Amino acid sequence: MNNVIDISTISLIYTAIFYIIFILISAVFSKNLWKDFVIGGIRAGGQLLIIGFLLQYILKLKSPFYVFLIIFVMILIGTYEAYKRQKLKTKNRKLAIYTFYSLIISYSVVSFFMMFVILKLTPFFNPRYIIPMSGMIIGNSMNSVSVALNAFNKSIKDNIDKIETSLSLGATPYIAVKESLQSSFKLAMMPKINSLMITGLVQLPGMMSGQIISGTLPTTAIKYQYVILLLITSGAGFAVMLALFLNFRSLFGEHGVMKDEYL
Amino acid sequence: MLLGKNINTNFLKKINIKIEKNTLILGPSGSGKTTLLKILGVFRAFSGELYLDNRTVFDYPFSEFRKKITLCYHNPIMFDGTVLENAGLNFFNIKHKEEKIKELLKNMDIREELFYKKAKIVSAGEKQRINLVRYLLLKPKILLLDEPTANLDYKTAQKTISFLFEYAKQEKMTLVTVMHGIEFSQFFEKFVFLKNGEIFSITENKEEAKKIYGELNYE
Repeated sequence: MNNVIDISTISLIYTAIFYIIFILISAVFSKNLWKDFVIGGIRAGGQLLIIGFLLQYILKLKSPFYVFLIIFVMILIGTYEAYKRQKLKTKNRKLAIYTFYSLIISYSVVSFFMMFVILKLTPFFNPRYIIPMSGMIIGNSMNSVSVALNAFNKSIKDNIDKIETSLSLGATPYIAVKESLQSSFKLAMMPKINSLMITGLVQLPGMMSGQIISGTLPTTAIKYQYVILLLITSGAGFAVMLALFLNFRSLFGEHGVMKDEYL
Repeated sequence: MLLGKNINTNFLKKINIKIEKNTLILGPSGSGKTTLLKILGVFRAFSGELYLDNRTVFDYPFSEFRKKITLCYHNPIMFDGTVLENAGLNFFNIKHKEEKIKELLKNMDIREELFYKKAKIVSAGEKQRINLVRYLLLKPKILLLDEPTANLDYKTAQKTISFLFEYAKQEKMTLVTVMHGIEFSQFFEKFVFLKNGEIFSITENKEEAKKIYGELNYE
């Protein structure tokens, strides 16, 4: 931990200059993206500056209340981000609630397991471990839930005739939308499966790279990486299944009546 | 008997309707015909009361209710599998006798050589008739039909409609049909006209129905 080379201010400026040169060249290639590169670069810097500053205090927190308050805020932001990405014509507020429920429930299950069974932390809320790992789990779950809900609602719209025909021939709502549920689950989980498949082959995953740079033994780093990969995948998977289930339930009323708001 | 009292949706207004005999629902495009059909079959949410044989529709267990009343949509969706499999398709776990399916397909003028072909590749008109067979096999007490002849030429439409009504009579089914035209009025005993989401007129007199139809279409 002690022999990490710090990055000096001048090095940061060099990196920024390098990035600006890239943006200028890219502007010749495509005129549309340079603004996004600039805003993205500034946002990333600003956000990291703030979080770096906050982390100094967060990592010293002695009270579980504040640690979990921070995680709760992370879930709220995750919910908002996932909800913002929904492409429904009329924004359905219920989707935000389902996203929130699915993120918080799935996170609770996964983090309980992580804290008490796998890492056996003392104290159990040790922010040095819990905050970054929770961030990874929540962030990944948020992405997957947002992809899944988008895909599911699109699939319902695209297949409405088939779903209605199935219902009219006696299918229960679940049977009628089973294909949509399964295909959106698959679509949301594919990136997770892919990352499991190629992990360590092409690039070293972020967490492991960070640990190795900061001096952790590679044999320890891979164990952390493996744990977090499996937790991320199952956490995202639980959240997606839950969000899809809640979304599915809300589509239908008594007797499989489809609610207009989705059509 | 199906009885709707004060049915309202975003679009339909104060619909009061009694279905006890073969009924034709007519009205200009966008007047709410299909929406009404979907509500009568409890496929769409609505406010108001709907009774089937004097019991509110939600009193029936889902599967039992769906066996009594269902809707044949105008867009015939074929699933993977042969024409024969598609015609016999249902989700009630009812296995129809193959002979019965074949007989109904023949009555619907589906050529025998198509029976084992993939259902997705047959013509739109054939799909429509295969779709109808699915519902005839289920013999619901009330069958709601959304433009059952939309993809058929006049001659085939006439043949299809006469068979539908002959079969319905034999199996004691009531047919509630949405159509654009009134050319098959001889098969129906009741006519419901919709306009802008409201009931414009209800009559059991065929001549009067034709008159109203004319008025509505020349307005």
